[in-house]
Amino acid sequence: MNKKRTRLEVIHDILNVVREKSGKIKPTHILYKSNLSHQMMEEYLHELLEKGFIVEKSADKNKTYSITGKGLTYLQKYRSIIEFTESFGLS
Amino acid sequence: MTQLYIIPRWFFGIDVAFEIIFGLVALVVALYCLHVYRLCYQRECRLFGFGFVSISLAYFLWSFINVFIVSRLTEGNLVLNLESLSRLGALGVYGHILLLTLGLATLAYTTLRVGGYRSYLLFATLPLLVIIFSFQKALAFYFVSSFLLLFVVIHYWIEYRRVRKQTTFLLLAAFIFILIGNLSFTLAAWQNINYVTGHALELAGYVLILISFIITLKKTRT
Repeated sequence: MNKKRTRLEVIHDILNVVREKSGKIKPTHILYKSNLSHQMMEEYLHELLEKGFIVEKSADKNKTYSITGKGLTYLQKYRSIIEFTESFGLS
Repeated sequence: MTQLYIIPRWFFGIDVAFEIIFGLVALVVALYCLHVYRLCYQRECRLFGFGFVSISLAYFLWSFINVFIVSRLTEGNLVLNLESLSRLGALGVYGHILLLTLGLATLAYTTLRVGGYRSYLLFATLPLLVIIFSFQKALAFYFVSSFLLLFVVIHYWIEYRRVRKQTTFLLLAAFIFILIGNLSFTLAAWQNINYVTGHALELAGYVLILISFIITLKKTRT
């Protein structure tokens, strides 16, 4: 049985997907790649936008997302965040 | 008389050094928690950081009280009681009680993973109200803080069984030492040796927290 992903892991997975296709990725691709329900994905995207990890661009009714500097910093420091939160029982 | 603790004369000065060490360890952990919060915006990291900041300030205040305010008595002991304190001293003691209780309540609350500010407010204020309206404030403080520490110990026991990490085990052991040390302080108003054992056990606890913290940092950089 697969282990349930933590919130930080899901954020990492979404940001990784957005980084791979920076500036071009659509919500449907994120949904497919991040393996989340539509509602969960919307919640996560809203949170990531609010915290400045990604930015949204709208053109011709199509939404695309790209990663920000803050999002890239999160990806770089991801291992240390996970190690710390797991050790201190905060994950 | 609301006697808080009796300090053996030979131990005076050493206890202050210990309290500064407790404060520094708590401050280092707090700053790192807040640093991690700035990276991931995880609520638990912010709460943990705030809890450790509060604990750190409580210990610095305690060392300040012991250096400047403790009244001298006979038979080779130094005694701190609430009646003999100046207004500044009383503020210091109550400040220490308030900050340590608030810090431990925040840590215990974080481990429960309950959302919402109202529940936090309830969790943080109830222990303080118990202490404020108690006739035996010192005893109430040590019992309430021990009860909160027990919640933290249970959390690390559950976490260790889940992740089986060396660092989590060290934190479990650390909080067990701090809990027993705190229980020892409960008896420090009657026997001065409990004041010494309380400090020694808490020192062991904070050293283990520091070791766990250093191992975690090393792992992230390899």
